[in-house]
Amino acid sequence: MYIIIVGAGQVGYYLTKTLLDEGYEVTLVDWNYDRVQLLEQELGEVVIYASGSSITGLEKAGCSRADVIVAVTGDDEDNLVISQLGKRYFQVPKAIARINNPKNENIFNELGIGTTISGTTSIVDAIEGYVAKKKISTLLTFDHNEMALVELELPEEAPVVNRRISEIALPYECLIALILRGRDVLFAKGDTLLQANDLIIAISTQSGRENLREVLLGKTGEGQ
Amino acid sequence: MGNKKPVTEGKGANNIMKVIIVGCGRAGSLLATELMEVGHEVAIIDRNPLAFDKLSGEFQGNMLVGTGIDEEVLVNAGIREAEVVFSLAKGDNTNIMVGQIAKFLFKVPRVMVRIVDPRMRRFYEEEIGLSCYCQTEISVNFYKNFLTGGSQPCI
Repeated sequence: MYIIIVGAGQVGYYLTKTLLDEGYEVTLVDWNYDRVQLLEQELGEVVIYASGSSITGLEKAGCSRADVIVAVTGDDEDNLVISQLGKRYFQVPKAIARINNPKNENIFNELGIGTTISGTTSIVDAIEGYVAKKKISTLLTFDHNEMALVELELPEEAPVVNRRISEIALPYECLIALILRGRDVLFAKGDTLLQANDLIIAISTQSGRENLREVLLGKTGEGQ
Repeated sequence: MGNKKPVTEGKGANNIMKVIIVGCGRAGSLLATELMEVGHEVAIIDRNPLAFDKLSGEFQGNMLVGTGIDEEVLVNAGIREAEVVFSLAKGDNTNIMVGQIAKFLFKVPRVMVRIVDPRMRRFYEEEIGLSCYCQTEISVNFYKNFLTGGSQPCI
């Protein structure tokens, strides 16, 4: 498996090291000469000096035989071009792009830029999950960010406490998958009885998330 | 230039268009000024507010500070009603992203982006379907023409 990483910032650097440790063949591409020289001392010829958002630079990195291309520069326009070139010009099977500004998530998804990872959004979700227990946190997104694996904790006053899953009118586009209760993992079935402090893991479309929250936590879940 | 009367020849007297220009560099500022002078409605976007100094003092179009890859800035510039978008920012990648936002997200009928790298120009034109202008290719043709003694260069 050959992986090309474009952008030798902190993310690119640690990602390269981790993937090398796991035995993958990796090339790290950056167009900052000083940064490349510095990293070359540690990582050797894995690091190359080239423009990862140009056809010539990606050719130099051997992009046509890559299995995965990862764009983790600090500029979203560069990450967009890198993944687009990877997918459409070099036919790399898997392209992953980092999104720095969460406002660009919608644009990347609309333009079909492979899998996207937004560090900012994850951190915001983590904060919101921490600050307000009454919120849904996203654990993972897939299918171009359309689908999400979400988690939420049931407070004692939640309307669904002491009700069976079959009695709850769940939105069509949501599915409760697991219930974590203390140390127990319960696979959600129709007759599973929900209890206070249950941690619910559900699969939902992004648009179904708020409906799911309302059904499980009640309409006053936020801002109270 | 200098003619302040709206152009009335050509396809009809009311051929006024809503135009957005991203990047107020030498080309962007001149284009904005000239389009405004012939009566078009022009909005121009640049990250650097000082860039607008390059516009002629008589420029009356909308000037917006921000980046053209920001949907909000584009909406404020009137992209929902725009008929034409030119993306002439410094970096190819910025123009490529602006072009795709304008063409595929906002469905602007006519979008033109500047791409300096000829190979990228070819890819984005042929594979992605953006209309591109590559000054490198055009300059090189001009020089070659000059070399072979061509009397009428491409402009």
